[in-house]
Amino acid sequence: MKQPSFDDIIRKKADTYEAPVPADAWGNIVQGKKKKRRVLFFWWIVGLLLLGAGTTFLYTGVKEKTPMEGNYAVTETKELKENTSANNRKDRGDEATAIKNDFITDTTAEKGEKTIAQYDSNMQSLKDTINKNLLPGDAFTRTNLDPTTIHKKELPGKRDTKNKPEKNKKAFSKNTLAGNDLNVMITNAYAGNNQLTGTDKTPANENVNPINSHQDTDGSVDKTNTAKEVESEVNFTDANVVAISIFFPKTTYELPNSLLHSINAHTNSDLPVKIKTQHSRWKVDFGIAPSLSFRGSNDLMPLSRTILTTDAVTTFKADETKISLQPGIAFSIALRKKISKNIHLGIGFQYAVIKEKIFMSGTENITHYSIVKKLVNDNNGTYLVNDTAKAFSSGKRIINGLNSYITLSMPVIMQMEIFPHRFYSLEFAVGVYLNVLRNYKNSIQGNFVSNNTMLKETKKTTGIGVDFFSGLRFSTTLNKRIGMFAEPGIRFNLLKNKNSGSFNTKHIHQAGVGIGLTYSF
Amino acid sequence: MTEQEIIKGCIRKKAAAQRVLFDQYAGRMMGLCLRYAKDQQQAQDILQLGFIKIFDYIHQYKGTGSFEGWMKKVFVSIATRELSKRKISFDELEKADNATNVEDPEVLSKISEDEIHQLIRKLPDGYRIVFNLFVIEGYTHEEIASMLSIQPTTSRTQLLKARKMLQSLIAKQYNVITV
Repeated sequence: MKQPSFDDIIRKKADTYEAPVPADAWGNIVQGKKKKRRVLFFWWIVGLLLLGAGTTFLYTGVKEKTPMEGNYAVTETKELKENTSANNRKDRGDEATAIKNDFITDTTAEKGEKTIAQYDSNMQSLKDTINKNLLPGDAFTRTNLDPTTIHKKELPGKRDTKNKPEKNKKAFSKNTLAGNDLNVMITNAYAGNNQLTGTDKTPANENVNPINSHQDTDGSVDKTNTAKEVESEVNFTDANVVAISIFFPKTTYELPNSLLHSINAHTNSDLPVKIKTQHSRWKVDFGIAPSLSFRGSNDLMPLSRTILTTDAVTTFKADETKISLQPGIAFSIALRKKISKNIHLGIGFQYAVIKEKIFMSGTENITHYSIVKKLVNDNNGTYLVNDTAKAFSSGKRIINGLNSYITLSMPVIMQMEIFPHRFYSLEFAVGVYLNVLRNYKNSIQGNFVSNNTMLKETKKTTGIGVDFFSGLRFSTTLNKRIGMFAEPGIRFNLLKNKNSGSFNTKHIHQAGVGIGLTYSF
Repeated sequence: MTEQEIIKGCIRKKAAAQRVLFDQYAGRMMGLCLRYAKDQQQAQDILQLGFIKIFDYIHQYKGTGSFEGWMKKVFVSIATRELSKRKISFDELEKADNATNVEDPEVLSKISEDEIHQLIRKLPDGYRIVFNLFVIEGYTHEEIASMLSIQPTTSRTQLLKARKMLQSLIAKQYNVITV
């Protein structure tokens, strides 16, 4: 068995072999480890930043949502004196008499400032309901906070089961209620269906305990502390109606949004709340749109050109002409504004370039003129005079050119939200592009003449036209102010292009995808 | 510092223990890397990568077998992976001189470790890797086939040819004449 011995010897010798180690190996290993740690650290930082940015984005994104025309900013201004239960009762009583059971609808809230004091009679009823059912010392465990349970407890027999959103069961994460938790609970109930769109900077007198305050038999909130002048802002959406109906079902109260705004404020304070309408923001879109162009008609005509030089006349007559539109590109800027619940209107400018390839084949005749000396022999003798000699040549010429249409348009586009979402939306876009300026840049030498009367008539260098546009717009928000969009669409050219210098008249239709950024200001 | 202490220190990420481990095994591991690598630079890369992996995964060493054996497995694994990044040719080369066989233990024993090492490194990639894995590391043809994504028969033929080529190289170097 010689074979194993060969292998064994080789194995033994090779296995025990120690090679010199490069001097920098250890250093590189240490560096490699450090580098790896740095990479890990880097990704940790990136992760934390993303998490922070995401949280901020969610927070601010929620705040910015515009349910109708804009956010409702509830500004609570408190003038503080000593708030006693007697004062509160008195205040509420006065207001309740003034507008008893007069529920205000959404539309009135949108019209401008309105003091929420008008709603106090309703709020009183609301509070009475709470006071009746949320007794002091109640240990509100999480199961108690299940909206259904609360509902049963608060309003026996009046539950609006149809409007019960299941998601609200997760609304409150605390195990027990304490301090200002009623507020939090209501606020969380709003948020339970993930549609809370606001923030609640709790006023300074938040240490008022609405639960403990139920000790007042008359149901009023006893605030013995002296609060400072505070402003708080709360933004809500229509979604609140659904959420709050768990606590206060629609069968009992037809709560308008504006009244809901006051709930949070009133559980903190009984003081007047002003509602302001905050208008939707202007948005500016910066877009770039590559497109494919195709012509709707093909009025090819016999073309000829004549080039005159000092010593020749060149005449070309095309026997065959081929014109093909090439991909184009457009740059646009547009201002948009939300004009109703789900409609945006925008207007802007677009600069577009569409190339077209020209191929022409035909016969070219060249007549050369040259001055020669001619010997004249007449009565005056023999002498030389200038004369013109004409040389004629003919041949086939092929011309290839790349010309372009340069168009300045004013798009007027309406976008209808068909699938709105907090972070992205799908909109149907429709509108017109008013082509206010369209030039044709001809790179082929010479003036081409055609028999086409339409073309002959338009000697101006501009071609005004109108395009109809239709498309879908996918948009998403990147942060508080910046979003991005993609808008595949079709532009249908309604009026034929009759640009002077162009080789034929035609409709130029385009299909493309506009992509870009939106900035809200 | 015993091996156990070094390992424990490395598990705790003690730089001193890692340095001791490196000093203790770097030479042998460099030899291993050189046997697999095409050149010195690649061998150094494998060495560095191997030690980084060793330090990262040393806690996975169960202590059942020899620590050096475990380290070698890690290095071999890294080396084959690194070599697999570029295509290894397992083509059948023309034998340099298949008439010469050096199987005499006396002749072989006279050859130094360094010389053997250099001769192995002269083998073509495919031959060298299979030879290393089979003869020196003790992997089976099936395992080699799995590691290199080749057929076991390819591994066998590569080994056969590698062995013959190595014998031929030895014979040439030491003017061994077989009758």
